[in-house]
Formats: sequence, C-alpha cells, structure tokens
Amino acid sequence: MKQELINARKQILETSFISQAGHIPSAFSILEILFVLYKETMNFKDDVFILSKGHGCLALYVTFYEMGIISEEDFHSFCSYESKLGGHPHCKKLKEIFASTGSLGHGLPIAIGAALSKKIEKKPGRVFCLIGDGESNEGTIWESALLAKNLQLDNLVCIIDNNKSQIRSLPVNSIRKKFHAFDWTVIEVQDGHNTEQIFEALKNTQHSELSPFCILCNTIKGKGIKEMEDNMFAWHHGPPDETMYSKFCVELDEKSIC
Amino acid sequence: MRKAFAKIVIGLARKDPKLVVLIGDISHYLFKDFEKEFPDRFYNIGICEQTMVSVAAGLAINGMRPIIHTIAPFCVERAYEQIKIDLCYQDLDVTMVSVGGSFDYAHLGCTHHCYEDISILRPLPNMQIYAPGSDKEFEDLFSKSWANASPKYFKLIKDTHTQNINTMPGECVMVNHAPSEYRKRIGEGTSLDQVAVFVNGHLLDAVLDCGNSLEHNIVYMPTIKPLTLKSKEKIKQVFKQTPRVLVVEENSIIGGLADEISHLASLSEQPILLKKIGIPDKFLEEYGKAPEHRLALGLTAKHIGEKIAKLQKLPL
Repeated sequence: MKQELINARKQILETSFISQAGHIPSAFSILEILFVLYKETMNFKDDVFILSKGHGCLALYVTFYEMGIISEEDFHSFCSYESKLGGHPHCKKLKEIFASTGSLGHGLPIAIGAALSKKIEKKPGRVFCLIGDGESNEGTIWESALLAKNLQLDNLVCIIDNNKSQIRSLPVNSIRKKFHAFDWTVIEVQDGHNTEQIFEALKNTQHSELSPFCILCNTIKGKGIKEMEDNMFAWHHGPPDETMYSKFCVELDEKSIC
Repeated sequence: MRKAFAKIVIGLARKDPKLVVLIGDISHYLFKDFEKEFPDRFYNIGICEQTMVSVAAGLAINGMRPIIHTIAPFCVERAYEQIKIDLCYQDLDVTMVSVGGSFDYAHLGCTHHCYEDISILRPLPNMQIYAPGSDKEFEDLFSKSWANASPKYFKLIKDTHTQNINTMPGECVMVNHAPSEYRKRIGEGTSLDQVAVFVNGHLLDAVLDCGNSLEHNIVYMPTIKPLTLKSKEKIKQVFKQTPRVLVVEENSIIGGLADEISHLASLSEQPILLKKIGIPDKFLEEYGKAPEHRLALGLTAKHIGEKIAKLQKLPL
C-alpha cells in the first residue's frame, strides 16, 4: 500500500477517534478511487464530483485535507456542532462539495442533471458520481441508468464501489451485466484499491459512443484493517476506542514497512 | 390555467436561456410549440418522478432554472424526499407546476387525487407555495417569482374564479367589493359580528356568492408561503378588526391554508375564533366529477354562507 494512502487511513482513524463518529470501512473502501479522481483525473475547472454514498465522506474530507482544501483543524472538527464537515456532505458548508448527499439514490440523478446542463450549454467537462452496490438497491439508480443512456450523456461517469456490503440483505450481483444491459459503456476495475488500474479505467472515459460510463470497482469494505475487513457489518458505523485506534495504526504502519 | 402555463413558459424561455422544462410524460401536446422552438430545453424525462426531481436539482446546481411538470400526487408525494433534500435543503431555483389537484381527476379515483400537497410542502424550509385562481394570477405569480433562487410550487386546479385580482408573490389581497357603501351602512369602526374569510383559488367566487359577503372581510391568499411582512401585518389588522375567522380551501383540513392562518392567529394576543371548510381526514372514494365532490364536501357558496351565519352567532 502506498504511503500516502496509509497516512490517509491513519488520518481518517484519528479523526474518527477524536469525533467518535464516522463510517470508516466505507471510507477505506473508496479512498484509492477518490485519490485517483482528485489527484490525477479531474480537471477542476470543468469536472465535478458527487459522492452519492455520502456516508463515505471521511474519504472525501481526507482527500480535501491532503490537497490543502481544508485545514487540519477543519478535518478534526468532523461532526462537531459548528463543523463544515458533517457525517454526510452538505454543499452549503463547503463550496467544493457539489451536492448534498446522505440519503442513498439521490446523487446519480443529480449527476444526470449536471451532465445534461453541460450538454444544453455546450460546456466541457465530465460529471463523476460515486455510488455503492448497496445503494443500488434504490430504484432511482435504475431509473437513472435508463435515463442517462436515453439522454446520451457520454460526459457522465458513474463509479461503483462494489464492496459487496449488501450481501446480507438484497445483493446486487452481476453489476457489469446489468449496466451493460442498460447500454452503458462498462469498464471493470478488478482491484479497486490499485491506483494504476483505477487511473487507467478513468482515462478511458474520454471518448464514447453517446453512452454514459460505468466504472465498476471491486473493493473491500474496511480495506487495510483486518478487523474491519473481517467484520464489515460490526464496523459499518462505529468509531474505534483508544486501544483499537492504536492497534489499527500499528497494523497500518506494518503495511508501510512491507 | 394549463394553457396559460404553456404560453407563459414560452415567453419566459425567450428571455431566459437558463429555463429548461422537464415533464413527467404528461402535457406533451400542450408543450409541442415549446419543444419546437426550444428542442434542447425540453425533456420528457419519463415516468420516474423521483429521478426527475433530482435531475432538476443537478441542472439547477449548474445554474439552469428547471420547471418540473406532472400530476400533483406523483410530483409531490412520490418524490417528497427528493423535494425535501435535493430542492429545499440545497435551496435550489427549481419550479414545480402540478395539475390534477385536488380532485380534478375525480373519476380516476384516489390514486390521482392530491389534496395534501400544500399540507406536506408547507413544513419544508425554503419552499414557496402558490395556489393561483386564474390565468392572470398565475402569470403574475409565476413571472414575478421567476429566477428568485428558491424552490417553488404552483398548484394549478382546472377551475378558476371570475374576479380580476392583482397580486404579487407573498401578498394577500383584501377583497371587499364595496367597502365605502358597506361602511356607510354600518358606520366606521370595528364590528364584531363580521367574519374574516380567508380563501384561495377558484373558491373565491363561492365566497363572494355566499349571500352576505358584503358584510365580511375577504382575504384572498394565492400565496400560501412565504408571506411578506406587509401581508402578515395586514392579516394581523384583520384579526384585530374581525376576530371571527373562517378559512375556505380545496385542500385537506390538515396542514393547508387553514393551518397557516391559525399559525398567524396564534401569534395574536387577542382571542380569535377560527373555523375551517376543507377536505376532511378521509379518502374521497367516490368518483364522478369535481363539482360533485365539492357539493358533498360543502365547498359551495350555500354551505359557506351557512357556516358564516353560524360563526357570527358564536360568542367570542
């Protein structure tokens, strides 16, 4: 694991420990995707990003922190009363947050609207939207899958964090086939924690035949911490205590030595 | 008002390149001229109202000014959470225009009724709610609130009233068709046996036709929310002068105009006697036509007159 991604995970753990809040495994699941998007892919003048699975926001906030968009003080204020950074992102708190999310299934149709406005006004740039496999239980995801193709939105890129967290209730299997059946251009990233693979997939979203893109990233919920990977449901929304926090940091440091 | 809506939107679109129309697979014919003139600003999104509301939010975040148009229950009730979060929480300039409420599609049954739209939209912060009663009023409210950077809801009922009302968004209108004659008859000053009747939409005609309307203050309320401070002050004066109050609306008696007025009354420091005529807490399971429902519900001049007469006799 790259040092910057280990550091980011430790920063997320620290912030979650301080605030005693946050969905850590969801953030660890999408961290590499966000780093590649923000640091290597997006053109901030024209491109926008929507974190439709808003509960993974610690990954977004740590990316903002790494990029100097927010201060350490801001980051550590996570979930406190007057913080800019709530448990779900809110666009009125920080201009870099394009849309307020938290209720699942809203971000993708909002992304369609944003992509459509670019088409109407003939403006450049792409709209990236990150959804989860669990979120894909929502009907609006499939309404959007139908609509985005009908509107020929080739400037829309829907990234799916396929961490299989929905296996305990309503699994969304064969996602590749499903989006393919909706006539999207689907690119699968076998290892959604491999930054090179993610980068390559996103690079291939610049030209299309009037269809939106689905980047299917196979990820691991809680990636980097064995305890979380093995017990993703127990850790879904639970901050670490002091002992666990120290233990997890040691585990991440060992990955650094490797 | 539906035709007036399509006409006004074409006029506005010529002036505002940010205007875009999204329809939920209704009114295609009505918007054929719009589509012809602005093909890249007209989208029949399909039968997916929740998605349509969120798409409008995405358009608005990027600076467009979308109008969403479909049948009231599908637009408001099915997509309520999208309205709450995507439009109101983010405070976006999106205009919703519904048709079919409250029971214009009476023959289609309860699935197509919507007499709770105003009730459930009222508690949403940032939401502006308008219930115009004529083409002119719709044009005034729609054009003058256009591009005001807030989410807005316009409820278009098929029936209209016949009065010539001048209104602005946020304003209530005092309707008293012969105030000087009336004052001459009863003398200046307060008369506690009067009733203040608050009403909106086509029911204004029923109120004016109730037999003794000259004796009452009629406050016409095409804007339900938000009211200007000036209008709130006017209403406060009405309460002072006329503490017997009747609210008449074609909406559920829960949460609509009557609740807005009773909220304003609750801010008053004097006793106010408030009664309401509206749609009771039940499904209207009969079919037929809208006037038949109005007759059954007492949304008629005759019933309004009787209610006023009773109210006048009640002790304060």
